[in-house]
Amino acid sequence: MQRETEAELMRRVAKGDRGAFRSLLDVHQRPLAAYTRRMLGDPHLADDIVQETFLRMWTQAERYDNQTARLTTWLHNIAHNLCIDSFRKNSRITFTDDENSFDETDASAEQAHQKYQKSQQVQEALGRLPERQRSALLLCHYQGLSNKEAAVILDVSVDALESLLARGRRTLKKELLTDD
Amino acid sequence: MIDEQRYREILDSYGSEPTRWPVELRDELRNFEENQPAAKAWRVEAQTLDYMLDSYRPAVDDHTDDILAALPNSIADRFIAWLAPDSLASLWKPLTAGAIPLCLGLSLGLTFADPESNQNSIAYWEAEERAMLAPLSIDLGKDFGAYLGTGD
Repeated sequence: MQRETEAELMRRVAKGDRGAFRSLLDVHQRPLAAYTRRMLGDPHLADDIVQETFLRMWTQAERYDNQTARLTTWLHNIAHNLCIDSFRKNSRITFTDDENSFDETDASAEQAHQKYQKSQQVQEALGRLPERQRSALLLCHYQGLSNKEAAVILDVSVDALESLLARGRRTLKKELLTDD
Repeated sequence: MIDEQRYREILDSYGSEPTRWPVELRDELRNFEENQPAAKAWRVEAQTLDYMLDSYRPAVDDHTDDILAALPNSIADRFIAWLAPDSLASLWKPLTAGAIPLCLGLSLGLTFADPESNQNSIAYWEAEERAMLAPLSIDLGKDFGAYLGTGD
């Protein structure tokens, strides 16, 4: 969706237009859900955070400035902060097994099992990364945000972001590729 | 200026996919690749981790209905709710049902009313009044005789 179109829809959301809200929800719900799911590991907690993010989009729409950030960045920023709050409140968040963590429609049982194991390995390895390294990696690798956008969300410089990414990838490489 | 060290730093941080590289460096990085035969091997190395990471695709459920249901109402919605609270909301059906025959009767009456009718004129109602009072002005003595067959 074009940035101008999103800005217009957000102006309508600020006036209480549920149709405009629904249009934006259709576009942004899945990526945000994937982010919170990878970030927290817990599907229920992740869903709660997605819901809270969109509730804030509804109540704080007038605060959005499309000149400052793309809508996806703005929403990721909200979701990220909620995830951090959640980490602080629930210091014992554990990454739960996600049996539906991949699309197995076209895979045989054997292939599906292998994919599942691989997917689980990645999920667990990501869960073991320090929170800031994981956030940086998720935002840049999975969510498609630019280095500058991710740096803004994490409130660090681009150089610091690059360092977080490099350390995260190095750890993952060691954990995921040396076992093969 | 991109050299081997910087190129490998980029791969280490952002992986092998050029769309994830910093926008302002992409052209320079591609130029470097074209002139550096070893670059392809370094990129393939980074690709292995990317493929592994891409295998983790969490299933996400659609919660559109829940999210929409959780939205607080707008000021206008709250005003309407204040005017017609839930306790009165159940009355709209019987009220509507009662209004239908009323509307139907009005529309039929207006449709079939004779625009040339003089029922609203004073002369019409005076004639009606005369007709109603007419029997009282009969000469009873004379007319009763006629009625009984004893008159002239």
